[in-house]
Amino acid sequence: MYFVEKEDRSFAVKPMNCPGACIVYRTAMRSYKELPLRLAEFGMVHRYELSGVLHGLFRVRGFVQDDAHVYCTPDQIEAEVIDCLDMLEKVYKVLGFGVPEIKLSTRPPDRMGSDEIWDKAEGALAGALRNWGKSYREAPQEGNFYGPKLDFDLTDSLGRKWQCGTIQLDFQMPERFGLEYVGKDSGRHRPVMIHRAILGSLDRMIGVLVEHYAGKFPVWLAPTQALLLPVTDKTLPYAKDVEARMRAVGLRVDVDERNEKIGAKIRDGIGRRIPYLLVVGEREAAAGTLSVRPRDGEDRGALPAAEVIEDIRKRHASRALDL
Amino acid sequence: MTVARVTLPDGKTLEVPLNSTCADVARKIGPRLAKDAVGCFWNGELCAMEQRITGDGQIRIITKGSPDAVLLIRHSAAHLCAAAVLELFPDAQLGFGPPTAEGFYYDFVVKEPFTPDDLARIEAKMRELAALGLPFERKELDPVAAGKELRRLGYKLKAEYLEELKLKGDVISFYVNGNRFSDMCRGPHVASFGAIPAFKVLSASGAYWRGDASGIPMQRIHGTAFPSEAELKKHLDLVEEAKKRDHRKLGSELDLFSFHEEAPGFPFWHAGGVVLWRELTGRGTTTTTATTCTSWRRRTAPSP
Repeated sequence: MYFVEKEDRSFAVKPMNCPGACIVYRTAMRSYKELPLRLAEFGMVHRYELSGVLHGLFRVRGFVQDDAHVYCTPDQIEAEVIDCLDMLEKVYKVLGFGVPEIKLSTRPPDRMGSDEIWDKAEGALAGALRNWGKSYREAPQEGNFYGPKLDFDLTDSLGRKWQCGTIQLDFQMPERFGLEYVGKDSGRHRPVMIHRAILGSLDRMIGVLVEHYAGKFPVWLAPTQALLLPVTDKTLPYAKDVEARMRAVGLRVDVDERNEKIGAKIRDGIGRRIPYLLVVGEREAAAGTLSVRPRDGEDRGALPAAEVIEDIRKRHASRALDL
Repeated sequence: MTVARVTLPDGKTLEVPLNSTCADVARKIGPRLAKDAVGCFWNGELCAMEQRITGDGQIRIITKGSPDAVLLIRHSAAHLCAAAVLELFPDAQLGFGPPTAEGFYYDFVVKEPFTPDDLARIEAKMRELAALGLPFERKELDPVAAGKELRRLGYKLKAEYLEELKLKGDVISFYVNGNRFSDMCRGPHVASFGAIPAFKVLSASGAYWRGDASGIPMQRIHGTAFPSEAELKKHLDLVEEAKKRDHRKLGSELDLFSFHEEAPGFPFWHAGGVVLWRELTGRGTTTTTATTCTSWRRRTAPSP
């Protein structure tokens, strides 16, 4: 952790987001009617790592987590977990990964909490997985001392596994922060806390995506989605016009205005892994077409500009994985 | 107490007399399992079927042909590597050399870091030794005799490590390959150096004895081994491909992010990288929060 001393008080730059969520929970007396109470944040955390183990985006000293903390009753755990599972599945699919490998880690020998609460918690996790219909493997006794958890491993295009998502139940933190809610019986009760992350670390996930796609991102992720390549100066005005039309529908497009041969422009465009190279020669300018060379696959020849623009726009909007 | 309670992976337990071996446990579970067992995990540690059970614990048996069986191949390849290194670098001191999820490594104290040439020679020597067969023979000694044997072999670091453990009644095993190599080791191993189907020496990196960064620096040789040449090739092709698409290299080429000495461990995001942030989160990102003090020294106007 990174520590700071000011005015005789010790501060620490947060290595995790959960205490902050608990402090927010605690700002009001909560009612059972508000549960499940879900607090999400893209929280930046700092963790000091030895310089020898730093590695690109995979091991850094500061990163952002797609973090959420859910406060609920023990009976609500299963439904919440199913909600998380649904979201996990959607997100991984959109990113272009297959079904994750799921691991359920159960009670370790040294733990807090009664056997009863562990039975309920493990039962809820296993029940959620069963209802969700996906297989998982059990890691006996590998849970945290404060609760059981689910871990999600993604497999990339090289067959390597990356542990990204996690759903962790926590009986300890609500106790440590004195969290309560008023129940239907007007009595005070302790909520259960669920920590969940889908990508884990945004920074690391971007690194994973770069390698998973070898830099050839699907359209919706590609920093530059299309590159217009005017063959000569004469077709530059037409190219600029197409660029404006593409920008108007929210596409990320560039024009290679350099005084280079078309072969060199195409080579550079390929090097930049841009999904669509749109060549604009005099024929295209006259006919209102674009000569489409997708990053992978066959040249598509000259197609009406409006069609090409709409096709790319649709693929961006639908987060299509193919070109 | 004269029995030990052994917990199986499915949670069932059985009792065996204290000092039984893992092989005895396998036989108790079933003759087929006993026949197919090549090694096991005892309380999470990889060991041979001859391992003695001196208390309660958990067992997970590794059978021939199962995914974990590759650990034996890699473990034996680690020994083969050490054998080759000692023949080419007689002054080298041995550290530890376990199998890993990806392959194996072995640590050595040597005068100079290993060069790519050294690694090529080491691999060639490994092949030479493998061609001789050299079966693994297990020897069991008491801790005092084991300490003496380690000193006789010249394995000073391992001798000190063993002495520190102050073991009393335990059995310490060694694996001996003819008259060419011997090492203190829990096992398990394949039949011989020659029985390692496919292996490759990959690289060398720095390490420290017992992981202590203020202690003895060592050289770690990384390698891998597989049940067949085809699987080894497939793996090496993957490693090559992974190198080509190393995100640090592509991050730079595609203008996504960069790293700087002023702030080790903090990525600086470029325009392309910020696009990725926006698409993934619906918002952008910020530059890093902590850079070295020189970035913050007060700017002064140049003297007139």
